[in-house]
This record gives sequence, structure tokens and C-alpha cells, in this order.
Amino acid sequence: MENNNLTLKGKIILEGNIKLLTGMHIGGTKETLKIGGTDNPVIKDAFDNILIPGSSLKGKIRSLLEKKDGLYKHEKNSYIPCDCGECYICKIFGPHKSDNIKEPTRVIVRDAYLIPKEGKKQYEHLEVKAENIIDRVKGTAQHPRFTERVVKDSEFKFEVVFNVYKKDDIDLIKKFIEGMRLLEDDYLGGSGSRGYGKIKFESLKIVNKPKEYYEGKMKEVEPIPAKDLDDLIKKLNEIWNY
Amino acid sequence: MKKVVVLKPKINSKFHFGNLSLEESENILHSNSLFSAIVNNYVKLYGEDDLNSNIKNLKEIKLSSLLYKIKNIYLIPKPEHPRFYILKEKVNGVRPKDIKKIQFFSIKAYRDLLDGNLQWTEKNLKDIIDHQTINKSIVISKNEIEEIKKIFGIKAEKLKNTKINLISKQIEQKVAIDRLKETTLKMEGRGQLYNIEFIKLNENVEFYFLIDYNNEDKEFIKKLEASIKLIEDEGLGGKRSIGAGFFEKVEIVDLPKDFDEILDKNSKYNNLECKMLLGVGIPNKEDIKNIEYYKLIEIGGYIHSTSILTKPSNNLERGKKALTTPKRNILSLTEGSIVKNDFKGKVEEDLAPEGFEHKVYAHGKPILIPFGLKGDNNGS
Ligand SMILES: [Zn+2]
Repeated sequence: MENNNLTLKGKIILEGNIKLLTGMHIGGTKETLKIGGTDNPVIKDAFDNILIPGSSLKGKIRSLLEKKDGLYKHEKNSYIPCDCGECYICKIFGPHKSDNIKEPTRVIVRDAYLIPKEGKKQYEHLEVKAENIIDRVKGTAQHPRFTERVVKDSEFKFEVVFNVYKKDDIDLIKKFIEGMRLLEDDYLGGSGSRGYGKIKFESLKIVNKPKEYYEGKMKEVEPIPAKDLDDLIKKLNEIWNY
Repeated sequence: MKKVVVLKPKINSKFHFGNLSLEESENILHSNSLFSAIVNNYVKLYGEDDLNSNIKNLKEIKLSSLLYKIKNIYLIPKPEHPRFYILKEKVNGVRPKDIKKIQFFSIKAYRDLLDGNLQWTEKNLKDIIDHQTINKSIVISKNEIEEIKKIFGIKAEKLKNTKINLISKQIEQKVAIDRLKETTLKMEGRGQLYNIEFIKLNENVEFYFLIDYNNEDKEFIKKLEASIKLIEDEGLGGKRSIGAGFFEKVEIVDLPKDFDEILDKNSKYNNLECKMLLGVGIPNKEDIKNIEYYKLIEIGGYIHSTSILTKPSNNLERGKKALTTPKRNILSLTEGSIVKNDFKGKVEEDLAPEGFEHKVYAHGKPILIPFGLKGDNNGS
């Protein structure tokens, strides 16, 4: 039995806004489909609030990092997430099959909810775009599809929580921020090839909640602002005291 | 020392409280799950060795289940007494299912019940159901009606005629995606799509639970309170890896007045013959003769072993065991069950299958609240 138990040293929370530089589509379920509505609605919760699911954001950042560093598995003609349990991907996000877990998972990505603009209702941030599918042989347009998009310039509030177990975990957080940078050069949601879902991270903040916070030795923790992702890494270096 | 822990959800937070299935979420997180969460947090903060030297103290704490509060109106489970399930005689305008549907009492309404100010008689039932019951399921005190109307902007005279969206359920569909092709993927015997049910709270609703430390040791209490406070960012319930179950603030504060006055050792309520469970109860041998009215539930589910997960290891089998080992299911009394005299309960230790690396506990020592029905001599 191994005795070198890892204990939680604290939590680092990254938060800020995801700003849409182009319209974005993250599809909802068929259950939200109403007659006379769109073919392909955007995800909303039971209260009709528009959101980017934490799982989508996490999955996208993970897959961008996996692709960049070739950390995925080829199995039965499918490409599936890495589950070695040892690489930085598995340490940050957890191995895809929990079976192979070797260290505690470091990151939690919460759902990012739309921040309604002053005086605007949720639905006023949506637009419906018609898209024609062209028949390759006949060259004619077939039944157009109606896709719902969140309009350009909308903003979502995001929050990412890191569990700090080791001194070196700062490198894992930096890797995640690198993944956020890859996402800024990529897209979020569907139809990225048609220019949907370009995003930028803005109003970034970093919150440090060391173990002492939970032990009641400090009442509040002060969020530290950062200008952009580069600055976020700089601020992370400055506050790192683990 | 008894305290109340108030858990304020984040805006848009969602929760999944399921014992066995993803498809459905329960409304209540049982006290045994709260205990597991606290113990897991303890291991995260202080390690397994420290846990082993303090587990004796931890096993002595008493808990309620995770309950709801609306601003300062604290809800507790309805007593599992036959009076709250069957009508002795026909009442005009009240159907038997109207009283079955009731799930909670506010602590003030419960106190009214003990004091005889809320008379649960056939004569009064229609009035209680029309004027003092929210969403057909929560009975509040007469003194709380105006407050509720103010909080939710209710114009109707009778509460019966309004529906407040206090807790809503939503189903989310999840999908697995191929890494390179970005198409859907079938995995591990489950289809491409799967459903998970979540609950969401109205912005005026928060969670709370009661805890009795049953201990004076300052060092232990510091660690216990840190493990509770960590719930703020560690969350409660299922699907936390995708952001469910988190809180804006978790605060440990003194008991609200009504709880304090009812639970005080010297209060007049302690003369009452019966007590009601506020958490799940696993009876020990002496408790069995005291059980009066009860409902049983099976507790168990899967082991989520923090102590294995926080030990770096190259042993594949261990990681697998840490998350996928089923617990032995055991029966316990639900919240609201009624006992005579006393009920100590116990902490079951051997929920893990044989040969598992460490003990897996099921906490069954609930906080009790005095119970009695005034003005109802033939209650049973
Ligand atoms: Zn890996």
C-alpha cells in the first residue's frame, strides 16, 4: 500500500466572459423542438436561459489539446479520448475511462450562461438563419434548414476550477490556458467551417482559494483581473504559492 | 454543539441527486450522502492517515438530510404518521390524495403543530390545504402566508390557486463524440445519447442541513468545518465533473430561533414521547423496539473512493475499483419516520465488498426533533 497520499492544497478558479465574434450554434435537443420553430435550436435550460454546457467547453478544449499533441487513442476505427491516466491530458481532464484513473482529476468546467445585455430578453440574443443544401448533381437547392444562432457580440460567463494537489500543477493550469488559446483560433459549437462560433475570452479573473480559506482563516478572497490569456499566465505565476 | 449549514446555489446551478440512476434525480440528498461528501472532503484536505485517527469522532456526528429553505422559512419533512396520510372521515373539498401529496412542513408550522396552534383535524383540513399549503406539498404557518405572498408577488387570496416554481426538473441529453471525425460515438455498451435529470432551484430557495458535532475538540471541529466549507467548490451530488452541484457560498451558522428553541435540552418539547428523524436512520439493536411509524429506503449506490483517487498509482485495477465498485445496499428509515423515546442509529462500516482497500461507511445517525400531536387524542 502506498502511503504518499495527495492532499488538496487549494483551488484556483479562472473566470471571465466568452465573447462571440461571430454567431454561434450549439444544438439543443429535439425535445425543445416546437412546430413552426427552427430545425436546429440552440441549447437552453428549463428556464429558457441560453448556455454553453460545461461538457461542450471542456470537451472542445480537451480535443484541441489532444489533437495538437497527438494524445488520443485509435480503437476499432474510431478516435477516442486518451485514457492512459499518465499524460497531462489525463491529469487535467481525467482519463476518459475512469478505470484508468491514477491521480485525482484537476479541472471542473461549469456551464457558461449567457449574460443578457441591458434591457434585452434572452431570446433577443438569438437569430434564425436559413441554409440551403445544394444538390450536387442537379445543382438545385433542397429544403432549407433553419438553424438558430446566438448573435455576434453576445457574452457568456464561464468558470473553470482547478484542484491543486502538487507544486507542479501550475504547468497543468498553463496547459489548459494554452487550450483556451487554441480555442480562440478555432470555433465553438457547430458549423465552424462556415465561420460560426469564433470566440474571445475577455474580462478574465483569477481567484486563489488556498486550504486556509476553507479552514476559515481568511474571510474573503480577492479576484485578480487579467487583460488577456497571456496576462492570465503572468498573474498565475505571480500568485502561485503552492 | 448543533449548527446549521446554509448552502446558497450559484445562479443557474443544477443538481443531480440520484442513488442509482442517472435518468432521474431525487429531490432530497440523504444524510448518508452528506456524510460521504464530508468524509471525502476530509480525505482531500487532510489525507487518509488523519482520517483514520479521527474517524471515531466523525462517526459520532449527527446529521439531517439536505433540506430546503425559502428565505427564512426552513422546510422539514412531513411526519410519517398515519394522520398525514389518511382521512378519518370524509371532508368536503378535500380528497385523500390532497393530504398524501404533502411532503414538507415549515419549521414554524411544525412548531404550531406541537403547540396545538395548528390543529390537524378533519374540521380544519380544508382551511389548511386552501390557505396554508404551497404547491399542494408544503404546509406553512399562518404567520408565514403574507411573507410567501410578498416574496413571490402572489395576488390570489388562497395559496391553493397559485403555483410557485420552487424546484424544477430538466432532462439533458449528452452525447459522446469521436475525437478526430467529430461524429457521434458509441461507447462502453451505452448508446450515443444518454439522458440525465437535474433539478434547479428558484432564486429565493436555498439548501440547508443541520449538524450536531457531538464533540468539543477545537482541532477536530476546525477540520470538520473546513470539510463542510469545501462543499462550496467541491459540490454535492452527481455529475460534478460537468459542473453540476456547486454553490456560491456555504456558511456554518447558529441554529435559527425555532430550531434552537425546539431542540434545546431544557425545552418543554422534550417531554413529548415521540421524535421524528430529520435524516436517514440505520437502527441499532436497541433502536428497533422504539420504531413507531416509518418508511424504508435502500441506500447504497457506487463507491466514490477519494482515498484511492488521491493516491498516485500505476495499478489499473485500483482506479477502476475506486469508482465502479457497487456498495452493499442496506435498508434505513427515511426522514420523517417516527420513533418513541430515543433513536441513536449507527454507522455501518462494511458497505464495501470483501477485500476492498478501505472501509466504506453508511451514516445512519440522524438529528431528531420532538414530535407529538396536540388536540388529537386518538392520533394513532
Ligand atoms: Zn492520457
